[in-house]
Amino acid sequence: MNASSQLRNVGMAALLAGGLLVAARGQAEWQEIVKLDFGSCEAALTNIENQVSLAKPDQHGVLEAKLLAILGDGAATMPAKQFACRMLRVVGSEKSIAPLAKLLGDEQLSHAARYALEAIGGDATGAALRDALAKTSGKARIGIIGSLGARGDRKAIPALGELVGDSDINTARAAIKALGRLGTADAAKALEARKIAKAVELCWFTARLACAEKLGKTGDEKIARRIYEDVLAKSELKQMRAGAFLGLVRLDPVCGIEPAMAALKGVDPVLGEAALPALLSLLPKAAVPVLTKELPALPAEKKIIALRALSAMQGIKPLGEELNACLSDANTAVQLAAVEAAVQLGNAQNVAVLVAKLADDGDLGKAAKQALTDLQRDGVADALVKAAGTGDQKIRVTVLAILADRRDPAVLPALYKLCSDENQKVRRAAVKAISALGDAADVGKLVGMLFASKDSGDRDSFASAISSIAARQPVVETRAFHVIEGLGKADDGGRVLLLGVLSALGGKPAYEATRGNLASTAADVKKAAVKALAEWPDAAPLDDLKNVVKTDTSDVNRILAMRGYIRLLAVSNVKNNKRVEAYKEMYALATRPQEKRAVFAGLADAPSVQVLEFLAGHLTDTDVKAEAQVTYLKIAEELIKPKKNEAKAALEKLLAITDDKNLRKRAENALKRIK
Amino acid sequence: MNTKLSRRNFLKLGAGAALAAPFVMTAKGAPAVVPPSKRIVMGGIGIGKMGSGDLRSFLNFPEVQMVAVCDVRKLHRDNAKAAVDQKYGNQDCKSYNDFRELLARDDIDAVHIATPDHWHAFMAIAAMRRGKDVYCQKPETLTIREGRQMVEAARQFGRVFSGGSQRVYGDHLDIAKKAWAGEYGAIKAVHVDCGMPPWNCNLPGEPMREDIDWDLWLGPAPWAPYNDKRCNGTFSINGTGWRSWRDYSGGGMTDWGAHRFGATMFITDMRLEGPTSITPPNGKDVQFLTYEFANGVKYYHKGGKGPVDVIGTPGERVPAKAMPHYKGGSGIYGDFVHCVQTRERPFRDIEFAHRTATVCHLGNIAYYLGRPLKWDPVKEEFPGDAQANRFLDRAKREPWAI
Repeated sequence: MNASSQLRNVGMAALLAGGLLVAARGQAEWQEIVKLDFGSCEAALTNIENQVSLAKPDQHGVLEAKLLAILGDGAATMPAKQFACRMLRVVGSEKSIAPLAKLLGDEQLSHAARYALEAIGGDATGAALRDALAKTSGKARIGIIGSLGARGDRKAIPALGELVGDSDINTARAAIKALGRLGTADAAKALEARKIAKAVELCWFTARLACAEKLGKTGDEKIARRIYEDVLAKSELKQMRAGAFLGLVRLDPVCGIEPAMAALKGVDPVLGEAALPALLSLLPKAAVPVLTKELPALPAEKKIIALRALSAMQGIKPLGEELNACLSDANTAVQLAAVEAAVQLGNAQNVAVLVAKLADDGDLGKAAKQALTDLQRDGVADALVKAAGTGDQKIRVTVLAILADRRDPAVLPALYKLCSDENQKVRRAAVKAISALGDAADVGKLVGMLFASKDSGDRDSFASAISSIAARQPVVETRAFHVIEGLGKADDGGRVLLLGVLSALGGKPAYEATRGNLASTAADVKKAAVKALAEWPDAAPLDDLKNVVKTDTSDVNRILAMRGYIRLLAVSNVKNNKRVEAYKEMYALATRPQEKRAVFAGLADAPSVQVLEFLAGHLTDTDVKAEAQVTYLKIAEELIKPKKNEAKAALEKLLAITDDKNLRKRAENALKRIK
Repeated sequence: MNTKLSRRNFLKLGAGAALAAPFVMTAKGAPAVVPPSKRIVMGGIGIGKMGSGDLRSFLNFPEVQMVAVCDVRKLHRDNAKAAVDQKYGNQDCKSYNDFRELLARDDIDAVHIATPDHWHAFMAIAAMRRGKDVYCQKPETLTIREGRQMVEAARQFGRVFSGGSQRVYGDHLDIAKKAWAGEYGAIKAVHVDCGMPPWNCNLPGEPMREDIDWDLWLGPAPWAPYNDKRCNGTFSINGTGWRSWRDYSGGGMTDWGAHRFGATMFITDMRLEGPTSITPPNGKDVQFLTYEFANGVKYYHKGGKGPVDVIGTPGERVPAKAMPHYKGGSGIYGDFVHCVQTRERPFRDIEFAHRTATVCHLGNIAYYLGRPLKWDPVKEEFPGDAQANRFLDRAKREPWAI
């Protein structure tokens, strides 16, 4: 079956909404698959499978009859019968049981028959499998045993019990597993009634524990407990002892607290290891007070385990002071475990202690930062704000970063207050946090703060925050509103910063506001406007920049404009031939080699004979010949197919003048390709 | 609550023989050289394409001592043994064709499994019954019943079981952070992009290769003749490898679905839940396979922008929740190593992995039957739908039985 057939299968639901296509397919495909071999009849298989899987219940009978006909056809191949069994798994009924049961002793088809029989419900299937149990041997019988277990056939227990002590180890193992899967009191009894071989001991204990699990859930706790206690006492297999211990705890979680705690504190390695899963998953909330109470008295290693157990429990109350005691434990590993558990077990009471850990440069500090970022309880944000207000500068800055990472805008008013803190780094960290949390409404506020600030570094921070927040606003045409409004009120220094912000935001209103400042008489403002347009996110300012290049008296402005023009030309929609002309024009206006080289870089993306001819005139210019030759070669290489002769001539010309070994090698290779 | 448990007897049983120190605790920042007695002794089963990657990853942990590799392909196990021996500078790594021999070793604490999917449940459960922790590649299950059996075995024996999808946490972390921070508001739906269901394999037989144990490769799957495209480990799901075929895999739906539906369940904090209905596209009013959960959230198979596309409530925020992370500091492998040492549950605990795989399997069943299905995520069955319930499990080829 291929990809198209798969899609056909998926889409068939829609196609068949009004009815089945069985009739339309005709008999030919059904006759074809009787002779099916692996690799043949692809289309027929696909169509029939689609018919079967998508059939409505009232059509199952017709399809079942056709599939049973294949099973009954003496000429049908093994793959054909295997396929029919697969399909009977989908639409087979009680009518299929007898024909399928006939195949149970067939070494080649026994599994295929069970594939369908396991799916078909009802006691008749069980009866057929039980009947076959007595008539089969070897692998076929082992498979049948497995199916009886998978179907939960209680009537099979006596027969399966007989096989527990079978001399064939694989048969005995299959019977034991099946009884374990059945898991009833009778199954447990059948398991215990026979002497078993050492080779099946693991399987036998596993099956007994499986019985105990099921019995514990169905109210037969007494039998379950007896099995667990017996396995715990008698098995030398550590996993069986652990399983039995866990089962006992699970059986009665309240009473299990004490032994689980004893195991946790004890020295038995098996039970010690099992205690944590018990505490983690089996015990109810009643275990928490006991565990919490024991916490201070536990040795460090167990304290860590207890903290992890508590933190993994869902919905428990914060520990508060007990957690603070662990956070301040003499053992660093306990401190670390306590910090890691703080997300689940902590609250506002623990914030101050956790904040103090931020001074640590290692794992403890990192974990504390993560815990404070993730800890979501009432009062935590307020406690962090308080911590950001006083103390060591480094910690205050980290706390502000945490407040930003917590993404809770409720702390914004407190952050604004910290924007006027005496400490410069704190002020700037507060602005940075605002930039992470702020919304459109904050832009205007920050513009006002930028104007009010006298510190150039702070002003840069405000500009950066304004830019970040505004850039997050989804509508390009309106997100610059507050910035443009501020531009009209700003002093020259403020305008310089806000023009930089506008270049990051883009959009028509921002563009118009920015180009308006090209007329400014203040040199810094004009320069900022040129720079902003040169860094514009789209090609809108091309004409403005060209005009600056041609008319401005400032070398700096002309260079900025030329660089911007060359950059924007590359991302513009200007057609290739016009773009080449524009590059050439810029080249003529350029006075420095840097801009000339930038022109070459732009031309490299516009390969044409016209460009080759232009570059040919500069291959030996002292300042730019290296870039001119590289670009010339790149374009010649790209023209090999569309303009073979021109490319060949260019490559030969380059070889005649260049002494760069790499370029020569590339040119020679290119010429070989042409030949 | 009754007090049927005999506390005295229980305590007596619990105070078993005093033996060596019970726990192997390694704090974060484990030393570069871990004493052999403190290392997690591991073996790898299925060490071809994904398995060799898992093997290399575990070899990088000083806390791990890899001692055995197993594969039914000789080339794979020879390559893996060479990699392990090269790492340790000795010839000590044992290689096995039959996983049962590897699992029988009492000195092995944990295994990583990266066979084709039809072997995952059998091997993982067998390993846990032998007291071993398990790291199993995704998709962890081939059928829904197998998944539940894997969860039960892990809980019954107190084993650590990590599913092997690093992309659940890592690929969409920004979206997850936003969701757990409440920034999407109430999440209404998620579009999930992953592949389609598998197909039946009807490839012809090819001459048998000498370096593969074909019967053991097939294991519990229906008998079929050898063909390279049947058993190839290619990641392509286009009829050229086992990931394409229903007998061995859930197809693209489980292959990438394990990652992306898993990520979606993480993002929506519904890791341990399941849908109550699954509706396949009908060419009319249902455009995409649709899962609906009891809380009203919908998952759509395909139809979004990007692999995982969250539809929240614009303009709304909901309270932030503490987002779970990997433990141990070194991705999903480090998470497993950490949890083996501490006995915690890993990020991709088997219950989460099983619930994810179930979502994928349910999609496959709905596509296959071409009709809407009701699902009971607690009982894990299709209520009143005998036909759909037939797809909860498959008969295993003899002599294999869980």
